[in-house]
Amino acid sequence: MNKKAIIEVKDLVTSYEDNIVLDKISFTTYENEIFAVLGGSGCGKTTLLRHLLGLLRPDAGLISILGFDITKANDDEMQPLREQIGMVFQGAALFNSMTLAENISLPLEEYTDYPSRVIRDIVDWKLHIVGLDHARDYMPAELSGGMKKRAAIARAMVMDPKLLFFDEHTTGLDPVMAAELDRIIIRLRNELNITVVVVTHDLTSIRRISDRAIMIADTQIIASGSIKEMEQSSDSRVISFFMKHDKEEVLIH
Amino acid sequence: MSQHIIHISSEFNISEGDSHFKKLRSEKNSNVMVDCAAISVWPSSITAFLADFLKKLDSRNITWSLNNIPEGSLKTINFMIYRKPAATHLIRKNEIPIVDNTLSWVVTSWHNIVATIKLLEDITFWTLLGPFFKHGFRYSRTLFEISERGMRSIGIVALVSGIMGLVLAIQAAAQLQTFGASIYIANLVSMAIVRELGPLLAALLIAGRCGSAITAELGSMVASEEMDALRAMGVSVTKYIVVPKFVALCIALPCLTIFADVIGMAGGYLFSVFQLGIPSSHYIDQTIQAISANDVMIGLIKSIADAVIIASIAVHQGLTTSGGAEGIGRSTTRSVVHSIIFIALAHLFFTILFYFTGHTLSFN
Repeated sequence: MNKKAIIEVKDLVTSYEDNIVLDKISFTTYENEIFAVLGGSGCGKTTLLRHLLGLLRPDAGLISILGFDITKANDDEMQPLREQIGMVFQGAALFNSMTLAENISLPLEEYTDYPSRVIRDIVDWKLHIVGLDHARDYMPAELSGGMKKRAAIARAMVMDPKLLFFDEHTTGLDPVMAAELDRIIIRLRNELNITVVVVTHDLTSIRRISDRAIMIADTQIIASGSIKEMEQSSDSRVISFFMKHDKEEVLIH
Repeated sequence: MSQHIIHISSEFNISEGDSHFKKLRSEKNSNVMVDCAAISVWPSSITAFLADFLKKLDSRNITWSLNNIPEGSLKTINFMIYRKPAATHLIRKNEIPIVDNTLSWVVTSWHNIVATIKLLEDITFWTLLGPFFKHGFRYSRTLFEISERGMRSIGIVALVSGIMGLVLAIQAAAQLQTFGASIYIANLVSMAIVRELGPLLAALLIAGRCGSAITAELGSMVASEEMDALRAMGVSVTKYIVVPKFVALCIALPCLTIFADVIGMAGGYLFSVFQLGIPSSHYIDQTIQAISANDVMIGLIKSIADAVIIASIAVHQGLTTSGGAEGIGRSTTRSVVHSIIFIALAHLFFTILFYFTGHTLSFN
């Protein structure tokens, strides 16, 4: 396979004060794949994601996204890249003072000159994709958790990005809604030909959607490859991660 | 040596355990069997009481055994008795000596001031140059903020400044009447209100009413990752969120100041005319003679400075909020307290400045 690399991370080092969070992490994400970053709580998954978004600057190392080195770029240089990246935050992060439609049209109004009826069409279409046609004039506070998450996906998708990030997309959702969200993610990948990076500890969801994954623990990548390959790993931390989560599923279901 | 048997029921508690323990010690028993057959339900309290009792037995080297106890409860009791304290890696830096504490306070304050000034640079850029960019300035949002911050504060500003004018006139009357100089109440009230009290009252009220609201709003946006979402979309937080609020305060506060001036003087007028019987036209004439455009401008300059102080401190505190709900509370408090301190300092600065430049500006 000779796929185009979308994200390349080389020897990334980052720390909070004296604590090293990530130590020399390297991985590559290819075009049109769903790539998962796994790990227990507090292992630095979200920190890694914030680096990939350019919200944090690493201590050392190289991050290249869509062939563009973001470690040294300033905000102005990041601008064209940001229009090609969508991000769905853990708590959806919709703007509470605006209706759903206004939330979703925000990037369009900031970056384009489209007349308002065109923007309205695009927004309604994105809402339709995530199944929220009826909710366009609701305020975020009036929505359930699952609806907020779907609205956040619609907002992330509105500029037709090439790359979509998800932070803990199943947190706080019931299993049915989580499965629905997974279906939406797979559909987006298949129909729109985008690359998806998912940061999570939800193994059920990852088994459903991911092509490849890395697992982070103790500041290092301890396993990588498809979930099947990872399950063959001999590292005790990887085994215990799978064991714990499978046990948890047995307990819950 | 014979084995002592204790039967316990679901009524077992610490004092019962103690009495058993005392009895065992006095009888010099060294072997006890606790029979739990009478207990059908095992709440954690009974397990904990029992574990506590058994620990005491252990401390006196009395060997014990348990009879008729369900496996789960036995496990719990074993955990309670024999667990090792969990290793903790947390080292909290609490005990900082006072000197160090003061030093760190100075350092943080300095960092805060520097950060606020940097923020002001950014705000100034977007306020002045934003309108020339595509989507650089949010006019409708700014209008909304003006109405939200300014219009809705009119009531409280009117109330407080009216009362202050009245109070000022009453206090002045008590002093000036003894010299038969009641008419100078007009001078005193109008000068005090226009030059100092009007701007000060409006600023303090806005710091309390709007500064806190702005900090809380921005703080909760930070907490719910909305700011990160904006940054990830590549939309400038300063441009999109901060500048409308900043411009709204800079427009609303001077307006409110003029309003407070008028209402405050009206308060003085009411008392003087209706209580002291000074002729209405006389009082108005005296007021007009007393104040000049100069005084009003001095008041306005102060109020613009206040608006900049309130807005920049509120925004800085809001954007640097960390630590969830508690953090929002903390930064809101800090926002109001710092605003009030810096408002007082700014008024001191301008008053001294105008004192040494002879109370005048080159406006007339």
